[in-house]
Amino acid sequence: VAETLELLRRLTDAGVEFVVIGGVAAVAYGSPVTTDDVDLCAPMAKENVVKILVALADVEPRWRMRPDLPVVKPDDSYLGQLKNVYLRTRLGPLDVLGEIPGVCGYEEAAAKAVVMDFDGVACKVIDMETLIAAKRVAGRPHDLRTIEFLEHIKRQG
Amino acid sequence: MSSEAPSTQDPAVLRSLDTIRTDATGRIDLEQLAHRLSLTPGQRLAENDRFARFVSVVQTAGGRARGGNT
Repeated sequence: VAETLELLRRLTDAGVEFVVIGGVAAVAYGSPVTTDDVDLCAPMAKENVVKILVALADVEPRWRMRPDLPVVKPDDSYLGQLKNVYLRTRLGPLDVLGEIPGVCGYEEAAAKAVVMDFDGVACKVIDMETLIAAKRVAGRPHDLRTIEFLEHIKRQG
Repeated sequence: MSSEAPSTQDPAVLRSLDTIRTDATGRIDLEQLAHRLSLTPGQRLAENDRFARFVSVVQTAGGRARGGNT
């Protein structure tokens, strides 16, 4: 199984709340590949962040931006104080955002999300309209290119 | 490699965990780039292949969700 799919399987099995966002969501809607990692939006409440760390405990999660720090443990006291969680694990990187910048928070994204089955791993995926809005806010060249594809796909119905 | 956990009393340390470190344009994830450059060309291709397998699963799932054939 692809390592990234295994990451998602672990999170769903652990009962982590999350929505798939970013380039992977765009790929799910039919956009050509413009990503090499998986981005999620999830509540940053300590309970949910701890679930993430429990699910990944045996794949050496480290802070992506601070690889000098020890492996992150589920009982680290500061886990409920973060706005985002950027990890690197033996299964690959995992970026978890507490909100979709400039667009909406987790609850709204989850309420509008579409459930897709990734080889037996049922995941909420951000709806296309919110994804387009998020890409517009991000505004990088590949985001704008992705919007062009998504708008075209939307017009095709 | 430090053996110290970040101080919860230091907001700067916490911000260093939850803020992407980018170049001046804000578009280049410097940690991701450094990771890629730390790999051999063969390892980079292997990572791409692994992610491509995941992307194939996502494309198939998306196609089903849209009522397509893939």
